[in-house]
Amino acid sequence: MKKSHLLLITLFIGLTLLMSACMPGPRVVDAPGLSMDDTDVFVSYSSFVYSLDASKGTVNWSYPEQASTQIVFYAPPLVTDDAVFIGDLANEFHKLDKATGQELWGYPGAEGFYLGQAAILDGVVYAPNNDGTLYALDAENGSLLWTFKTGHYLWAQPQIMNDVIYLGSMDHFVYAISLDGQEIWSKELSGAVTGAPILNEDGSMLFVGSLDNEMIALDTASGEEVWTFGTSQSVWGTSILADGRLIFTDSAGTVYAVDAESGEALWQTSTSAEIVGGVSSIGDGFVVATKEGQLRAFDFDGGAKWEASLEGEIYQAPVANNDLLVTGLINGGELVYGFNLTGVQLWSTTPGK
Amino acid sequence: MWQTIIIQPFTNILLLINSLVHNFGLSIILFTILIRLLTHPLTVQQLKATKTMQSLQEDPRYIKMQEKYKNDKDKLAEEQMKLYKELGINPMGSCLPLLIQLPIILGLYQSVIKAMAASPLELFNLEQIVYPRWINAANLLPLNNQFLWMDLGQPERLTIFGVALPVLAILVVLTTFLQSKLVQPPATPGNDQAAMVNNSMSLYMPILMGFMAYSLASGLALYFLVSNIFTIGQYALLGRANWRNIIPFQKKEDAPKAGAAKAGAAKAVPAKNVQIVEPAKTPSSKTSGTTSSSNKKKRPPRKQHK
Repeated sequence: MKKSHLLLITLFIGLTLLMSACMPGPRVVDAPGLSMDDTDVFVSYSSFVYSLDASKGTVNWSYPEQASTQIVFYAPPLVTDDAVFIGDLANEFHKLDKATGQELWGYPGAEGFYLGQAAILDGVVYAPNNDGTLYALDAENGSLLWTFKTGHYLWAQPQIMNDVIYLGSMDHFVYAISLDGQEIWSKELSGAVTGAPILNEDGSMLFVGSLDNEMIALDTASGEEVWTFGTSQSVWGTSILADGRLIFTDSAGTVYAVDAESGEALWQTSTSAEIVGGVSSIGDGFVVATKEGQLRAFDFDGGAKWEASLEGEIYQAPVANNDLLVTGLINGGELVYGFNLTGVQLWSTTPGK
Repeated sequence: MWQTIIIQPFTNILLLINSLVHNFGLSIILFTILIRLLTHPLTVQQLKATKTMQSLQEDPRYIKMQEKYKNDKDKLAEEQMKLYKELGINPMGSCLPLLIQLPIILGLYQSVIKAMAASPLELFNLEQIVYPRWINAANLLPLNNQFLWMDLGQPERLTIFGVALPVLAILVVLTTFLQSKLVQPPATPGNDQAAMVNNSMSLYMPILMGFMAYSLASGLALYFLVSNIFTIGQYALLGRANWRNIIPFQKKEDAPKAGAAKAGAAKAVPAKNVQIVEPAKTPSSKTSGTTSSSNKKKRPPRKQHK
């Protein structure tokens, strides 16, 4: 082969590699999605969905069998008694057998990525998608029942109560939708909604955090605003309700507790670190995870209980059951860490490593 | 540092444009044009230096020393440097502006990716670098990715009669091909290898860019397209577009002249009498053509000149 041909081929390969380095690989980058039940932890990250033994962190199964640059998972899996539902970045939504990880069906009809966690009620899965559409799928066979279109990405898990689906969208709107996909009301906020809204016990009030530095309580019957609480920075992530107190965080790392009925401030404390994931309940208290890799546990009155530091960044709220708290990290040590509820680390793992 | 000096300001400019025009596709177009206009003087400087170097390669003294010292690279380099010095040419003159432009163009590309923020993590990181005095992030983010028929965060396809066509990718292939042909300099004597590299790049680059436009978010494909069109326009306005490379009949007419020109120029005048062609005033091929037509019959082929 001529020298010049070799030079050309080398040049072309080099250029391809250079351009490939500029390509985002998986089309977007995100943190691992986590879910758990009493016995297993489910992790979606990069090319695989993993089922881990909650007691040891060992891998039960992974899906799919072979890694693909196109099929990438970041959405937190939705776990039921016998199935795991999850969407990928190749715009397909999957139902997996919870025990084996075998695919039971796939729905390829969306036009965007799945990054938000789905919800399920009475055999219907509600899957939020980056094409701004909520897909209602038959949980049994994956057939499309209806769609509901919003104006932007859907990252927040829909909440369902009293036959109404509540959906926060990145188009700055909150929607109330009937179970047959009809809009009941919509309420425009001044910022996008990234975290799942939550409902009070009787479903009369809906609490929504927005990127415009506020937490808003809406009347679920009308969609009218009941109260607004201003925060110092944008509200990402999830909130919890505990004994009539709404507890949430902002991206500056402040933890707020407000009276859920009136919106009056009860207490607030600063973690002095950015918080993206929000709040996770752990029995008699709650945990927040800072972006810098700290887990901070508090009681419901804002008193510190314990803290743990990990090497890496946390962008999702930890998940917990009665015995175990699990958090996922990127850009650091292991991908997933398991703690008991008093802050003692039990295991850590990077599945597939 | 890269983030603070390049990516953050670029991303904020892009977001600022978007807050004015309320259309992300249009913002990408305007932003690309703006940055390319800012780097225009560097491009001009680079083109001038490149042309001077090309003209030098037609200089008999240069050609002669290539032949004379072809087995002594050190001596050849030494003699070349002497010639550069004598003629006041900076051999790095064409590289330096390009090197300065590269990080800017890379920053432009990365800021478009950053602004598209299609996941919570990406949006959070975008929110952190927004200049609050310039932009109301809460109102603006996330950006509306719809532009014409495209979702700028997704690879583009236009469905026509049930067939999903990658229109943007096709346009990127065409404009990349056009661009690489137009900017390709005329072949110079003794530079067959360079010509072959140029020809191959004209083939490979459109394929590579087309593949990227096909598989990446259409916001980036839009950036590739605008960038290509801008470059073509820029070369055309500077009079540096080689239209004969893409217009077949023109090429055929000119080809013999150009070929003769090279042959003539290669061996024509004794070294001392050679004038380096003033690049800004006279296109090199024309000059060579003139020289050749007067000397063609008298001069032996270059190989015999050894």
